[in-house]
Parts: sequence; C-alpha cells; structure tokens
Amino acid sequence: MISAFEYHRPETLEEALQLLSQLGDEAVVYCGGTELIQIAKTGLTSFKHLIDLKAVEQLQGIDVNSGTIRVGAAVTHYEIERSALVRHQLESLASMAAKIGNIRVRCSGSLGGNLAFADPHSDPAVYLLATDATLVIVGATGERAVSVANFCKGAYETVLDHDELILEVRIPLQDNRTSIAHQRFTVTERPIANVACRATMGEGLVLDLGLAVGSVTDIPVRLVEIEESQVGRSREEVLGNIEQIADAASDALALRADSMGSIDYKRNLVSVLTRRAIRDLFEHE
Amino acid sequence: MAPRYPTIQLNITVNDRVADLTIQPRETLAYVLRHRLGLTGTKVSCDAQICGACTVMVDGLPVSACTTLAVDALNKQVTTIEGLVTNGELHPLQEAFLEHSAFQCGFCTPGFIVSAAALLGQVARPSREAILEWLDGNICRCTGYESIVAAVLSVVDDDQSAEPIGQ
Repeated sequence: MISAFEYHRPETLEEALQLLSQLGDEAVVYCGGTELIQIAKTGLTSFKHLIDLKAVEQLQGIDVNSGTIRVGAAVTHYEIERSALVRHQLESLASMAAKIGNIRVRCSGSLGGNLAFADPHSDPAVYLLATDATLVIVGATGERAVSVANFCKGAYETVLDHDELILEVRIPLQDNRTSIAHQRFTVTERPIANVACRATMGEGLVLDLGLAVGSVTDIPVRLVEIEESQVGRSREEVLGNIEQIADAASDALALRADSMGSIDYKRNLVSVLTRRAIRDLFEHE
Repeated sequence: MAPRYPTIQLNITVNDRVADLTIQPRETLAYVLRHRLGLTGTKVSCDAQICGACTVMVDGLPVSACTTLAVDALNKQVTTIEGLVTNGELHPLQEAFLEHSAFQCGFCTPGFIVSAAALLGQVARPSREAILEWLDGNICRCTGYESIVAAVLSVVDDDQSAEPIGQ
C-alpha cells in the first residue's frame, strides 16, 4: 500500500507555491499521477504531503497568442488530442498526443507531468525538442523560461528546483511552409524509440530542419550536424540522402542495451523511424 | 497505541448515488469502490494501469481505478460497470457482449464495457478503427478480441439516430 500522506488541494498558483515552500522536501506535486501514484504503489517513493495541482486555474487551458501555442502544464494528453484549437493550429501536436500510452493514461496524464517526470521514454519530450518549444517555470522567485533542450538533464532529472512548477509549455507556430512528423515504435506502451522532424521549405529548398531522436538515450537529442547538412537541399536531394541520414542518426547516439532492446535493435529502430519521418515530410508536397 | 493516519472527507457520486466517506487519502479509487462501497464489478488485475480491467469512468472519461486516488474523484461522477444497468435493464453494450459471446472468463469484461461506454459517450459513431484505437489499452487473454469488437460495432450500427460514421 502507498505510504500515508496528507493531501492538499490548492486553488491558486500562489497557494500551491506557498505550500511547496512551507512543506519543502516532504511534499510532492501531481496532476494525473500516472507515474507518481504508480511508483508510490510499488514503494519506490513515498511522501508525507501530496499537493494536487488540478484545481489551479493557471495551469489549465490551451490558447494561441502572438504566434505561439500555449498549453497549461496540467492539460491532459486527451485534451490536447481533442482540442479543436490544437488540431487546427498544430495538428502534429494532437496526433502525437493521441499516441501516448493508452486512453486511460491520456485522460489522466498531463503534459507537464510527462515532462517533469522525465522518463527517457517520452513522446512529448522528443516532439517539443524538435519544435523548439519552451517551458515556463514558476517558483517562489518568479518565472523563468527554459528551452526543452535545457530543461532535460538526464533520466528522471530536470532543472526544476524543489519549489518550482512547470506553468505552461509554449510552442512556436509555423506557417504552411513547415511540416512536422512524429514516428514512434513500441511493443508495450512506452516508446522504445521515437523521432520527431520539423522541416521548413522555401522555393523547393530546405530552409530549416529540426531532427530529434528520443527514448533511446537518457534525454532526447537534436541531431544538429544532420540538420545542418540538409539545409539548402531540394526535396529530391534529401530523399536521395535518406539512407545516409538514417545511418547518421543511429551512429550519432551513444546507445545502451537494456530491457527495451539491444544496441543493434535500437540502432535499427532509429534508422527506420528517421527514414519514415523524412519520407513523411519530403515525399508529399 | 495504533498510529493515527491522516484522513479526509470524501464526497463522491458513484452511479448516481452520493457517498460521504472518511478515507485515507492514499486509498485508490479501486480500493474505495471495491472495499468501502462493495462494488466489486471493477477488477484489479495488473495493478499497473496497463490491462484496463479496472476501468471506470470519472465524469465520463475512462481511468485506471487502480492508479487513481479516490480523492481524484472528489465532487465528480464516477460510473462503474454496475452503473450501466438502468432499472434492472442491461446496457446495450452488455446485451451486445452477451449476443456476440464477447467474454469467456469475464475478468476483463467490465473494463472493456466501461471503456466502450466511455467511447460512445465521447464519439457519436466511432469507426472500427476508432474502436480498435480506443480499446487498445484493454487486454483480454481469452477471446482474441474479434467478438468484443463485433459487439461494440453492433451497438454503433444499431444506433440509427446518430450521424454517419466518423472519428
């Protein structure tokens, strides 16, 4: 059984931050609890105080402002999947969210929770890395914005201080010259490997490319050298280079064998998923 | 002297009946439903959110009761398999499962039916594709799934009043 704790349900951000300061190390926060409650059940973690963030208004909501889509940290994957606004403005975000876990996990689990828990096997993390998203973090000393690249430090490790919360995720919106693909592979529910790719085209040439691989290393990785090597190329050239790109992607990563697969297995997955993501973006107009 | 554990007042509505309980915040929804309310239709199988046997609806959305705290249902409407029966009459999904022999041991069945009921509450006329995606998180070891999908589809097809098949 879960170790005993006291339950708190702040209704404002100020209250939540105050509780965190007061209770310090003895408190943890949660929204969906799909990770936290699970590890609490198995005894991997315990806490004297549990702070439920779901009633905090400022952590909810999805909106668009000055070319940025803003998703509150407590918004669930299902809400993102079904949001008319997201489907209209950034369809790839909705379709990525729709692949997470299973329907029950999606109805409970939050975007902020997924990022804060920092399980290496994450779909949002690799997608947000490829799309240059920013997290707004809030704490006793105020707000700060951190790029997803700088937010993730290691497996289950982020830059969040104990008394800080993720407030929201901001993703820059693109015009119709940009398309985004997200490919993942799993035999259970957590991705064994995933790839997110963002391409901006201008007059038939690659203006900008974002290519990220996730789940096979402790944190998702942007493949900057590969990105730079394809800028300025035409669709046909990129497609012509696809095998090299796929090989370079799997070569670029320091992989470790584990229960999810051997090094060769993961190398193959990365290669295949990269190829599929590139085809998704470059084979169709 | 026994240790005093923190408790909390829980007011939830389960199958349209209000319950006022004093519980420990660490109690899961599955525990409260099964052990405090005697609603044993909800099963705990994997106890890790994977199998779907413990699926209940909270405000119409499916959740894993095994990994949801009961306090998360505070002031919300919980619907269990027992709640799908109205005035002694089986829900169309339950009838369909009977007709299509969509269960053998029956252990996964409440979870499947509640999941499917949640889907029908969210999507007017789900396609076969949409049904497969939604039910992807429910595991059955007995039937091989075809009869389950056929049962759900038969309820969708029987509902002539809804719009044509969509996502």
